Amino acid sequence: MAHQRVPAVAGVGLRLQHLAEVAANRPKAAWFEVHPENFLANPHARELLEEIAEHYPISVHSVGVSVGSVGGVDRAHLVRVRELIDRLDPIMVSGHLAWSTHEGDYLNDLLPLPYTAESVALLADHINQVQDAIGRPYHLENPSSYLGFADSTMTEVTFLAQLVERTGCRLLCDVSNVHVSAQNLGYDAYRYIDEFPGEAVGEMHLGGFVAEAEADAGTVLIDTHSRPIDENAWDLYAHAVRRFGPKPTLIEWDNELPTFATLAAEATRADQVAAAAIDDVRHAVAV
Amino acid sequence: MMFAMLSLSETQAQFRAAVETPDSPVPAMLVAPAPLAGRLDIYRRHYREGLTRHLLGRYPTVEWLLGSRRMIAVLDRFIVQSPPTAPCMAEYGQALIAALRADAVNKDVPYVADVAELDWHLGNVSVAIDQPALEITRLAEFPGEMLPDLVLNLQPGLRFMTAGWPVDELVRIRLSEQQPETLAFAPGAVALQLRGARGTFGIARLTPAVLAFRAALAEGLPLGDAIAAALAADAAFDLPTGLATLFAEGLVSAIALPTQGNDHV
Repeated sequence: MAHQRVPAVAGVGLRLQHLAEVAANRPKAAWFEVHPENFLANPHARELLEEIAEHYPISVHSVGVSVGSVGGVDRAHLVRVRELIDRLDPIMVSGHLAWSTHEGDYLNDLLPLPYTAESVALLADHINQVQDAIGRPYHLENPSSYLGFADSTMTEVTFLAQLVERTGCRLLCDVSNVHVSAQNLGYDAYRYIDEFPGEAVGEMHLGGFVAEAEADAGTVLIDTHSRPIDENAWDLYAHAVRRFGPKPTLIEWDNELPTFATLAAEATRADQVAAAAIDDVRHAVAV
Repeated sequence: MMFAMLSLSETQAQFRAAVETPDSPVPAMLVAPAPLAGRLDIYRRHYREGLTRHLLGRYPTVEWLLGSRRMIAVLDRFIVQSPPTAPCMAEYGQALIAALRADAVNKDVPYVADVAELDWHLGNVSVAIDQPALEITRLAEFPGEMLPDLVLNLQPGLRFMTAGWPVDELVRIRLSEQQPETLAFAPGAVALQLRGARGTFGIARLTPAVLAFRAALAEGLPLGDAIAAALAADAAFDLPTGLATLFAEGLVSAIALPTQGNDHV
């Protein structure tokens, strides 16, 4: 089974700009994560990716399988993603707690959901469809949020726990998203991690964000994936490792892309932070 | 604030409308511990800027020609009229060519749609993968009477187009390091072959007959029909030379009879 090969160390998000370099030089990296949507209409990129996949574990992270859309999952897109999955035999397949399609149009963003019983039922049905289609567990990622819905009846963590219970799906805990959302919506990020369904966590993400001033003199954090990991996110990541144990952790960087060496350095730091966190746990147990 | 609880369908319809209409009021269903309009603007910005950035990448010569400000105004209208319908963004934006052709705002740049078509094709051919090319001697494997029925598969990274202006010159100038202060640009029909693979591309001008011949083959028509198309374009079309150059340029990747299905050579 592919998921038995998952390394509990840090990997790097592999973007089109770095494909040729990675294929040619085969830099040191534990694993890579790719967005399948970047390869469906790009034969050259796909050729390079399949070559890279012969040498590195690959995780497939979809930004277009919209499990939160009331109009249903885009079956045609799912078939194309499945075909790529069959070629790559990835170590994990993941996507977002979000919706992106509406009445036949693709809105090119990860849009937020109200956390209600109706949403749980809809997403559970769609996640089951996705898992049936791809033939393996789907890892669902917590969103970065800027606002909420007045008619939400449960917390995000409760919502995710109910989806795990109904579908058996796995969770991708994006630690940076937790920090961003907690700052933006005014809750405790550490409590969020403490209450997160840890037994379902199969992967973690870390990405950079920017802070913008707001009209009321406050600050909003924007999940841009365009900066190094923030120190607050590193601290929260250490807490998450202490809580969940070491997990495959991805360095996500999509905009203002740096050199591959910079990404690799961030992955090395993630491994160091995780190792120190595990030492903390061992020390606490020993004491 | 009191409001009726919405169905998820109503919630998503309202949220989409709010994202696509920047000046619309903030829906009452939304909450945040900060000014809501600013928070909603984050989603509005992501939507518009993400699509705009993608389209600017697909149409670099059009942007170079129109200038960024005018191009973004064009794209703002286009995104409203033709949002994407699928998550594979590389496939989004071809409809801009027809939109530019129909848009009276751009009548002062009558070749802009041809430039857009060229940009679109170049983007597609440059990510193709060449297949091993066949030698012309492979034709000898088929009896002479079968030649008109043969289907010649051409390389995936090939496109053919005609334009009423020499738009290929604009691409060459954009890509050159030394751009002229002024450019004498006059109408003049061109028949273009665009060929690319693995991150590179090239543009070649063809005669109308050669373009008709190769474009017919690219559409999957049998050799006999392609020859007829070439002769219709120019009765003096030289078939031996046309075939020889087609193979010599490495454009043929397989030969088959329509009835043979997958029995390619």
